[in-house]
Amino acid sequence: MTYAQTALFAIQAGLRLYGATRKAYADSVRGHALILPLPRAPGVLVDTAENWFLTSDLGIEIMQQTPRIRWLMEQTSRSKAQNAELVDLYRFYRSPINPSHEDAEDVRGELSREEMFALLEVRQWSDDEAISMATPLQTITGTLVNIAIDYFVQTPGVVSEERSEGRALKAFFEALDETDFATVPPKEIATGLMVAVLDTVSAHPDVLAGGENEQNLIKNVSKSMAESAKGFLQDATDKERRNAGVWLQLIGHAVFKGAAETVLAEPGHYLKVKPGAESEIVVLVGSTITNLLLGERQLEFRELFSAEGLNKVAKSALAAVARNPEILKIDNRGVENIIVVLAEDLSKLKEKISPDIFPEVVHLVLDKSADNLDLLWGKSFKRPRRHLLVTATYTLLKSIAKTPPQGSTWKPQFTPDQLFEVANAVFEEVVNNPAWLVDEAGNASGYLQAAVEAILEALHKVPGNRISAETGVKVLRTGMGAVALRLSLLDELPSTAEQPAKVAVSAALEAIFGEIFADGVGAYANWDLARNSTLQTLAEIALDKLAKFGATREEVEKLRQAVQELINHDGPFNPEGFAIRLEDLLAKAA
Amino acid sequence: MHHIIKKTWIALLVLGIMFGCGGHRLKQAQDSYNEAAQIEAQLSFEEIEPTGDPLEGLPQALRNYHIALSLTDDALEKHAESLKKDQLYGTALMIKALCQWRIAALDEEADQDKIREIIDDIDKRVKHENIMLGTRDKVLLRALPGLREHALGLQQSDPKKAQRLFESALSTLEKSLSDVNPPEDHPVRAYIRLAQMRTLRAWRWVEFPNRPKDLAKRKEWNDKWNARYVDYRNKLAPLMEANRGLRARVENMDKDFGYEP
Repeated sequence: MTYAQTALFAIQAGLRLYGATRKAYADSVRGHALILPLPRAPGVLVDTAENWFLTSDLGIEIMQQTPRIRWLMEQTSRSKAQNAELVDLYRFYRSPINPSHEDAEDVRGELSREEMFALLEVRQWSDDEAISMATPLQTITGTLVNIAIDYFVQTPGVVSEERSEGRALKAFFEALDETDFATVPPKEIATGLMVAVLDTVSAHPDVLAGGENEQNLIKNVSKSMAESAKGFLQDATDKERRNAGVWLQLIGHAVFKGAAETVLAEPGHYLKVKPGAESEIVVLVGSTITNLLLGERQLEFRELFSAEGLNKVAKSALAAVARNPEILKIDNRGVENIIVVLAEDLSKLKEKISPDIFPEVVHLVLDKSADNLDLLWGKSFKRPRRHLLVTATYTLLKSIAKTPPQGSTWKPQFTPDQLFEVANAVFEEVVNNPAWLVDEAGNASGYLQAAVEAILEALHKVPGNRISAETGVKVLRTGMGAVALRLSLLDELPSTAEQPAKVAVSAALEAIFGEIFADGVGAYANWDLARNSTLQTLAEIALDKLAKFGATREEVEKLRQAVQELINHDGPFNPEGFAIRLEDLLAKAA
Repeated sequence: MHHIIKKTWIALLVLGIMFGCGGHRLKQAQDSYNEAAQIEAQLSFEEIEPTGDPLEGLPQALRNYHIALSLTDDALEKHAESLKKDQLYGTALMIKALCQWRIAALDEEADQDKIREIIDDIDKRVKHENIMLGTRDKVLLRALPGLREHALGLQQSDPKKAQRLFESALSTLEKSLSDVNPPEDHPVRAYIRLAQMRTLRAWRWVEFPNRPKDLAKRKEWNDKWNARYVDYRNKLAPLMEANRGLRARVENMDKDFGYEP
């Protein structure tokens, strides 16, 4: 009987009151460590003091030099108060520091409760005895069985090879059985992964129904993740192993859930390459994420992942790879490289940009990469930093995170959703026209950065309490869209007597906001125009028209004129009327 | 009964009925025993660094020992065959003995002889019924009479009777190790040595009123106690080198004893 079958049967026995063997479970109960209180005895009393002052070198010396102690010691009968005095003197002279502790701390404080419990915990077997009795994996069978019993306490019938949960569990045990845990204690790795398997199979019994392919998938993914984890935990401390176990459970949950919702749910849609490729893909993605979160830079990357974020990243990676396996090229590390670089970039900006956006950005980049890989990364796939969306992400977020110039009045905090909206719009533009980031010769171009910074420059000058971050996002999107249609919106307009030199798109937006929020304009004049929804529409129409007619200084002044007319007009804002009037002014100027 | 304990008790019973398996019931008993022992150990820790009210804890520890005892009794009564089949019957008997030992130590009104009966019963069964015990349990089976004698010695007002009890406790504890001979690195060795040092500490306190009056003879009297103490202490030396917690524990016991290494 294999280990997997033994473990499965042990669970069945615990739940169903029958079974051929419960040896593994019984072994764990018999070997369970017990805390043994020491027999009670007095602490420091007068006999303690007498012993020390009479027998220790230091005690004798102190007694000889201290007449009071000598007198107390010479008394054949002492009062209670005199005994207490002697004990106090002992406590005073006896060093509170234990000799073997060099850091001059009282050992009472050094011995924590946990250390004390560990000291009183007595195992059934010595280390050598335990090793000679069972393999490292067998030593934790009891723990695994206990978890499974707790897990299935409400539905004992599921632990059967007739059910998907039972088959998944068996596949998992087979994976562990084939993993060599000789140098790493398997407890945290195995328990974390097992809970992940059980959680996912319970949530998706219809998808992970336990056919041969699905069982292979569970087995192969469990095995590869256990192997990856094992590699990182060779010299780990207990605490590091415990943390790794928790992360492994989250990763396993995310990867199995992602697999159930993508490659297994719609194999026809995703996998046109070869049958059975599901397992291979999930193994690669599982190992990739395990490497990230258990590897050398785990602390840096863990900051970017919540449980929900991890689910999103795993699902995006699986979907992207299944749709276009080419993304895994170069030693199968394409996805890993993209995620690592995005994580590095976002880590640099974490003071200003919420890390919560990371999973969304990874999702966007991978999703768009799957369909446009050659366009975005070139055919050679050599360097992740040459991936256009990776560059776009950093350029965009760095520009947004840039400290506004002195005197700025609008300093919004964008939410992850708002940043996602901008990133989405920017990525669409980059996919449509990579020239935002690279010129025809493949050299870097600064259009994206220039556009974002020019639009933000105009926004920063708006009085802080007048427009929302949401409106800012809409204006940013609109501005990007306009620049996409007419690159000359990024031209710098020469200075005039009234206006300093300025990028056209920035000058246009300043013309709108400057007029509406000018000091002399009262609430009656701009009541309707100052509404955020109106401002968004105004900016949209204005930039659309400038994209059509151009944006020289003269055209920007025509825009200013049209806005002034609006302010002077007593009546609700009429978008069509404004669009016609602006077009008319621009056409005459042309 | 405290409502949390009551709930725990009910939950344990429900789980027990649900599984109907002696092994699982026994595991619950072990956990309950450990919870009680942990409370007791924590209280002894807090006697040194008082951070809580010690009176709060002991009744709770006692209740948990009773819960563990009831679960074990239940397992032994209803699932004797399955426990024997899984070779857990001896483990269950030892949990029962340990619970009874602690109950007797914490509750003066408890039957102080019960532990003796349980130990005799286990002894007979081990000899005649092929009951299996692990290394720790084998040592504890032999050590428990000594630990009981220690407790009785502390309660004894007659110094001569106390002396006999402590002397016997020390040799019983010694014999538990020599009979079973657990591996050198087995934690039960450290436990027995620490228990012997505690016994010696308790014994000297009982003998203290009868020490010699003359100061020089009093020094000799203390030297003799120290020699015995050092004898046990030296046996822990190899383990202390590798175990910082054990070293700290022994150094604290040195201070209680008035011994300067």
